[in-house]
Amino acid sequence: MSTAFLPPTSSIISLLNYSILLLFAAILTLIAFLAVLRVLNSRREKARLARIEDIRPLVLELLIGEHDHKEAAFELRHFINSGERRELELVLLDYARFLKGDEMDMLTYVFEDLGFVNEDIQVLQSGRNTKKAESAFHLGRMRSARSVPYLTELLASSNEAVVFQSLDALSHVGTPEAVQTVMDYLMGEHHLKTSRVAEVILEKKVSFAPLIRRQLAEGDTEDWRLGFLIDLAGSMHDTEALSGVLRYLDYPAEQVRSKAARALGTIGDNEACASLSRSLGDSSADVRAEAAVALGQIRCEDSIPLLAGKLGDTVLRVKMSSAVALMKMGPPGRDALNAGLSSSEARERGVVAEVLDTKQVRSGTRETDPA
Amino acid sequence: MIHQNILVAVFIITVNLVVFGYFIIVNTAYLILFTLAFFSARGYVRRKHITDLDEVFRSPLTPSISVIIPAFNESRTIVDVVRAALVLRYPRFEVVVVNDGSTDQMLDVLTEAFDLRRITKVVETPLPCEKIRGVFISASQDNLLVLDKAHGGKADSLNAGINVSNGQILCNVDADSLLEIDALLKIARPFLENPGYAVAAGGVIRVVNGCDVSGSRVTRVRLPKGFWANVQIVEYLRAFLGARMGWAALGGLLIVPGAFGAFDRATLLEIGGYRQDTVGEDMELILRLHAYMKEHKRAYKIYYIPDPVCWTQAPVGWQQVSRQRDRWQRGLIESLRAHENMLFNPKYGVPGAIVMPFYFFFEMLGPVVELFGYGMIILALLLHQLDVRFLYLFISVAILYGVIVSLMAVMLGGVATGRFPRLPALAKLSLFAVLDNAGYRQVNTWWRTKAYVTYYTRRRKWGHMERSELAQSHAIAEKDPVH
Repeated sequence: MSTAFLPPTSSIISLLNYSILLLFAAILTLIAFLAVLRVLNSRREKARLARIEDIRPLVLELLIGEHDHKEAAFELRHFINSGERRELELVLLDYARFLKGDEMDMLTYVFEDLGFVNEDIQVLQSGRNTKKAESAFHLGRMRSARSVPYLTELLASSNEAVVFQSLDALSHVGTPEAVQTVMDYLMGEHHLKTSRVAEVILEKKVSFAPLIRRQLAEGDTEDWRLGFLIDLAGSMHDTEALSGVLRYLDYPAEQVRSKAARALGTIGDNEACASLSRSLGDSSADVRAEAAVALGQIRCEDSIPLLAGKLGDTVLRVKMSSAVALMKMGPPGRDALNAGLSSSEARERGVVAEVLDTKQVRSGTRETDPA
Repeated sequence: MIHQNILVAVFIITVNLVVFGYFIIVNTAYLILFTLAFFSARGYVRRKHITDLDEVFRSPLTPSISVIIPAFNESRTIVDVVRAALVLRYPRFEVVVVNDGSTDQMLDVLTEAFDLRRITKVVETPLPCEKIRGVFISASQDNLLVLDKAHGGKADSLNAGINVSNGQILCNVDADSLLEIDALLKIARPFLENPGYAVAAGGVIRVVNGCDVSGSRVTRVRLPKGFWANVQIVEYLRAFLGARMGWAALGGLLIVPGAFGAFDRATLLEIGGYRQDTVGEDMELILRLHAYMKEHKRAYKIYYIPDPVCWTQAPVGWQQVSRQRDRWQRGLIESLRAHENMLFNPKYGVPGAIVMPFYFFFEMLGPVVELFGYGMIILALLLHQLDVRFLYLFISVAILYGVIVSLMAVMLGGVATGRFPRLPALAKLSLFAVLDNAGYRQVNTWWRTKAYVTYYTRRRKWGHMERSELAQSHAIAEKDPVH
């Protein structure tokens, strides 16, 4: 054993010995750290949950009782000590998710009076990006009108999460100034196409609908933005936006025409039937398919012959959308479908059979003409 | 003679220095990855507080999802898995089960459990797949569709599932895996927030063995009793959570797990779906995705989310584990060889210039180098060139360093989920962190090296996996012999 696996100099052996000691120490520290984390985490979480459970009934009582805003704020300040402020904020934010109108007004007042709004505004001005995003989220849920200028400033941030949370917050605050800021941002040269902003816009559809209608009337240079606005108008079921959306069925970009057809189906107004029937002859298969779906959603019975004709379309998706639309039209539509079963084209027969079979299985009734 | 001895000694010393250096580099790279993963997980947990999943759920703009479950001879688990999928919390989704020519009673079991009826269906096949023999829908579940096709393998089944599905996002789930109730809402979030930019997302895979499963849900997380399942828990945390989160933070994720991954449908169709000539279809797909997006100069991101947990059955018993590791290694070799033009190529950004070389040197060649190192120790012993004191010290350092990496993975798991193991479980995991590095690692190295042989002899062969019923996973795990 005198020769070496590695040069068995004492320095290498010592180095390895020290490494082992160091690694052992590191392992023990890691295990101890994990154990402490587990214990602390568990205790802290239990204590936090207990505090939240203590606070929740008090807040609920204030919300459903006949207290005015000042009384509610006074009660909370009186009964909740400073060590429970974080939990109080969480409970209030939790209730804020469900409240609207006068009840929310009370919470907004309480947030302001107890200093939560000030604290979060301070973070917006000086905190780290993660904290800024969190505070923006809070201020939005608090519906703090006073925070609008600060949230607007954050839209210039280079951090996408901060910008998104600010837009989200402004949409939730929902004052005319906040809503206009969100629309200006979306109409600007930004490419934050996130659908989650659309979600909050939809939550506040009463505030946003007129702005979206106006923008649809004015048009836009960017196709994606037009598509986005049309999606929103459709998702809002905004019947007043009907004429604004209809004109986009003839728009040059295929993607915009297709979104317009889909939105018209969602809006569900009979006035769109004639235009949608025309779109069944569009050069784009996507547009034809969306138009067929929309006609089915609106139940435009006048379009049955055209839809029956589309069962012979060259594109499977158009065939299928037309068949599903016919199924929604009631007996006249089903007669047209049954006629499709005797088509000379195999795929047409297949699509019709699929729709009839599916209906039969799902409803337990036989739809296919036994003949 | 003396001259010859010196030469042998120098050779052995050189080789062992290389092996030693290699080992230090691998573990240090993992430590760096874990540090990145730690920050990434912490950021994710913070953002979680300000994400309102109810808003995602209520929104009419939330994209539709098709959950595709490819299954071959999974009659023991399939009903639980489909039930768990059908009750997921998501506004618009369908579940597509693909029966890949099973020879057990899987289709009958499904038919009975979900009142399946055969329907006529015209199927377009933009992606290649074996012949579809029949399509079934459920009379009791509006969003369940079952596809019966000739056997063609997992990739082929996924392609068939994609062909018949309608969702804007395609989510593949293994037929032995259960998803947490909000898993779809969470994995859909990147696609919702970054439409067009998010092309794929992977979720964390955890081992279900030993957990209490009731009503197709994991109701209590527990550790199993057998050696193989426990050691894989540490391994899954290390490889699936730590390393992949670290790579994702660098923009170089190469694997979205086959057990639970989500893809943008349009992009998946653009790149031609799954390739059927590999057993590593999940890694090959992601490599092709990177290549396609880079070559077309499109901005994109592949996300790895530490939260939407998918619980999967880890194989129990050394034969099954060895078959699985053999397949994984073959998949790795096949994928890297299929995209060797990306290797060391800065044109492909972080994936080509950093991550693929890492996988090439440390994952693909790693077992060979390690085994070679063990061989040299034996050679040195035979030639009386071994300093036993040094050997002990060297092995101790190697094992202890590995244990630190494994324990960091356990800690990362706690940070990512906000749930740290209880003290007895922590003690057990610590023990298995040692066994993971002293025993399991060496056996695994042997299996993975053997995969080079099976790579040439058993190409495309998947290997049989025994399944237990998920609802009994706790009871079954207790029956496992402790090796």
